[in-house]
Amino acid sequence: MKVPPRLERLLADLLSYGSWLASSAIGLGFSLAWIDSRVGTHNLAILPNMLIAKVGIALFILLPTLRVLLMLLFFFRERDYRLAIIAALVLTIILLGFILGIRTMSAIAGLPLSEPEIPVAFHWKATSCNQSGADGIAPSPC
Amino acid sequence: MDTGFALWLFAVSLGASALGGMLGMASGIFIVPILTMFGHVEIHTAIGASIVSVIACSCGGAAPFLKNRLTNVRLAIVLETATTLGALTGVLLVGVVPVSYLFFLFAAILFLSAQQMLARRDSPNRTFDSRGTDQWAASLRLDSSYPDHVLGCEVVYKVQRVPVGMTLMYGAGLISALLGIGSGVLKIPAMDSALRLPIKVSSATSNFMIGVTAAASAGAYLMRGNIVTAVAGPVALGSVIGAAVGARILMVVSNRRLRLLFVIVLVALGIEMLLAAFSVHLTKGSL
Repeated sequence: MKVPPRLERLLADLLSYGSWLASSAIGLGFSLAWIDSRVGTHNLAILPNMLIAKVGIALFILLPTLRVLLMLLFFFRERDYRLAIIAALVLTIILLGFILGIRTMSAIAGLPLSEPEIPVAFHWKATSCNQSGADGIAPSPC
Repeated sequence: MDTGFALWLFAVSLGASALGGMLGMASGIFIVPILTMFGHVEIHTAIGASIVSVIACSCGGAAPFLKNRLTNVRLAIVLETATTLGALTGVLLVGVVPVSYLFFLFAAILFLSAQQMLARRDSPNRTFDSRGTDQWAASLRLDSSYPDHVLGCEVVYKVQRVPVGMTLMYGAGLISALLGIGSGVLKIPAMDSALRLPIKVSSATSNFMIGVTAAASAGAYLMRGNIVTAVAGPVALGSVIGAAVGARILMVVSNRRLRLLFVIVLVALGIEMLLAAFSVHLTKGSL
């Protein structure tokens, strides 16, 4: 059987190692938060742990973007300029998505869909009055 | 209680993803209905969590396809211009489209998936129409080949009708961003019918593209604060582990019965979503 070409191998390595790293970060963050909740330390101790999980999530979102960047560099080096331009275009569109998110943030702020993150992290442990089962994600009556 | 909720999210995602993985289908389509119907998570938060899990599954499962040369990376990057543009459009529509419409659209996609699951062909050896040459495919060198282990030979294929494929991909990207799904359910038929790709290449390339499509909208969801760590974390982790487990037991389980179960689950969730669209919250009534 033929060996996979170099670009395919590079992409496979980037995606699988990246996924491992991101998953481990999420797993670690939640495991630490869980241990904390067992031991019964105060709420604030959970926040750094959730930050680790948050970094893992951000890494997952970044991974496809890095994959496009890798393709861009590869095609450029191979002097395959048409594909390099196309990769650059895709990269631009992804970055536009991030910018669009920031721009529309204020426009939607009035609607209930943009629940801030911090209160959830607090609710994560300290809700004894929560009967809705929504765990602080939906606005609870208390 | 809250740790329990995180564990519940993890377990549910793992189960859904393992089941999906057994049938070579992404679990993204289950996440939002389950989270909104049974977890009572707000729909935009559910979509945010789902989009992260979609990326995780796409990235986590890509390596074997790439190493077996099933993924057409050149075609993928070309089509991604359309899917990401569609995703941007979807992101713009998120704030505009009423929630009931989202539920309705979701129900439609669930029924479509069920129908596709019933109709899926088992035989991969179809003859490929390799007469015409697409102008785009020629100038961008998109035609390729892959090693088919069942047939025991290298299958050469040509990419057809790229503009039609691009148009369909734009739609798939839009739906993906709007509902937080990978929309492989739309991508694979598009590749199948418009681009005339072998089914193995379609599913591998679709899986590869899903991550980038989702990243375009995930960026926006992240910046808007719709990606809540306490929800998205367990869901992503559960999905990625579930997908790996599902792919492992793919060979062992009887495919036919499983597929039927899958169809029933899809239809049931579709009906739930449809009812939710008409503001009849069946499960919420019990609380």
